[in-house]
Amino acid sequence: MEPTQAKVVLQDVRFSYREGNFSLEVPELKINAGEKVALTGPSGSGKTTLLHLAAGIFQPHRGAVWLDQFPISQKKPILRRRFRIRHIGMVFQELELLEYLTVKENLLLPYRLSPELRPDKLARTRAHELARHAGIESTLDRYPAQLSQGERQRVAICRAVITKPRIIFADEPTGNLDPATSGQCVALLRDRGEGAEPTLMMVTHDRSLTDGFDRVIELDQSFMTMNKASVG
Amino acid sequence: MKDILFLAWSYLIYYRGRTAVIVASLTLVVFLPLTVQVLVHYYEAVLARRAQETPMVIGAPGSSYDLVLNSLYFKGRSLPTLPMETVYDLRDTDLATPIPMHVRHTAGGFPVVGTSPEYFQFRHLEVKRGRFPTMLGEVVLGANAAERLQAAPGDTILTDDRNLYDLTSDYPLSMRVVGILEAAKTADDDAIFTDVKTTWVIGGIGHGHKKSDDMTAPSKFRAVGEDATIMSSAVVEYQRITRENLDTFHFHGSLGELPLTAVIAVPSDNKAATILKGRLNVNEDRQLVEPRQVVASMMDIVLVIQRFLNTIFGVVLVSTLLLLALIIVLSVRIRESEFTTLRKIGCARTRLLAAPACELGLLMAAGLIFAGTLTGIALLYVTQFRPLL
Repeated sequence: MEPTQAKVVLQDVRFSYREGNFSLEVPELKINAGEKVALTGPSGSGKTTLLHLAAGIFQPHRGAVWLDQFPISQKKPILRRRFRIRHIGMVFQELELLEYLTVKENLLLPYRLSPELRPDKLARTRAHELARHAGIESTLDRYPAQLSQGERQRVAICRAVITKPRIIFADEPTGNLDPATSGQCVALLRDRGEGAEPTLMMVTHDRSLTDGFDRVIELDQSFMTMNKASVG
Repeated sequence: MKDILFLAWSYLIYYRGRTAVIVASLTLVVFLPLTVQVLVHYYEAVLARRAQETPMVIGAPGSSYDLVLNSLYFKGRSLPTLPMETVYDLRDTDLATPIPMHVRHTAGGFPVVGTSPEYFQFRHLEVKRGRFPTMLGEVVLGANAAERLQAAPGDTILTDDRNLYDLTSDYPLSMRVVGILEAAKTADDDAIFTDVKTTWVIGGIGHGHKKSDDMTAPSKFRAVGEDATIMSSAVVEYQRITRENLDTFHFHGSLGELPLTAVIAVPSDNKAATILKGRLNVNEDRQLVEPRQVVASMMDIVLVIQRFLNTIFGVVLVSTLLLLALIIVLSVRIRESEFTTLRKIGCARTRLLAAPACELGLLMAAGLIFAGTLTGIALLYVTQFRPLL
């Protein structure tokens, strides 16, 4: 199989959990560079599973996944993890900030987890810039427990983008936030205008948040249907 | 590694209460056995050193432990006495140098050791300030005793009342400090040394008072017999020995009969030591002990107790480690979502395991450092401020 110029490619992917009878089949999904794609669908339709497959967290039973021409599904876990931390930004449904680190240190966490990245002065400057852009600069020295839900979410988003990733995967990044704050968070993810914009794949069950996205993919139970033709 | 250390440190600092409890527990379970071990070894070494420097001790029949503790370390119970004649007899044999010891009284809480000038030579004690006692009623202070009593040459110190409520007991004797000894880091530092005759005066065996010729009033005599004259309480005894009243001090009876608590015997050679042992071991009213053997026997008992304590500490240590393991297992379970997040972000498995391992390492290191420091402080306190022996 030859990779295309698309940033995210899933080809003939099949995945099922060991327990239960859920399975997901993706004949083909291609997301171009800089494209912003929203995944929607009812609960249990496989949105998060698809995101995990695309990010290389789950290994498909069949087929292949390419991220920026890197055949992530064919690589060993250690190489997949190394690729993820260096080139991918992740935002999770559960905010998953480390309670024992300050906001600033949470933002710099990817630098501490990767032997190839260093939390140097440049990274710290970037953390400050991002925090200012997200409106959380005043919280940099506070702990997550001292933040509001909206502030925590913005910290999680800033953490996902601090290493200037090529691709961002976001799983329900707005959680249980109120509509106004949700809109701000999604805008923060979507409108990061810094030259070459990263590709964004976001899972949400809220159709109102998909405005401004290039494409919305709706998942049905155990198979994929797309409301727009796949690009690639 | 630096980043892992940072994460581990941040975790421990954020949950500082939990960290403090675990570190305190670890410190305690390491500190107790470590300190017992270190102090036992220290005391064993101190005891053994002084015991090895003292070849033989002669005392009245009784506990050999009490005899050694009293005559070498000025501790323990009051001993039964043996007569001063023992010293004269030993001197006559030319087999050993006898050093009389009379350790029964205290002054300012420190033992008053009545002995002879040979003791200072035998223990290699030097005077730091002043001189050695040359006259009845003069004392030289051990370094710690001088410091604690804030005494200097020229000062006087009073002996302690043995029983405050006993009106018939001896009055305290005022003794003149004539010298301070160099610190020896032994029991000598915590003692007050004087001539053995002075200790007899303290005990009321010797006394000084105005001569009966001066006393014309019949009221000063309670009874007059053929052998002795008993004076009434109107005759005031001197409670301080001065050059002026020195001549009035006297001992009733023969000096050879006056009591000693022990005699240190320093044999001239091995042959003399063997002969001396042979002679004194058949003597029923005296016992001869070799402090080295007595201390070894005492340490055997101490070591049995130490082994028992070590067993208890071992059980406590195992229990603490099991509790620590439980805490770690529960902590890992609570932090499962955190580890999952880190894994999803792309953290390597080794780093994922390294962080809690590093936390554990820091906790144990902190426990060991605190325990080591506390043990060091305990040892310093014992050696510097409370030598005991």
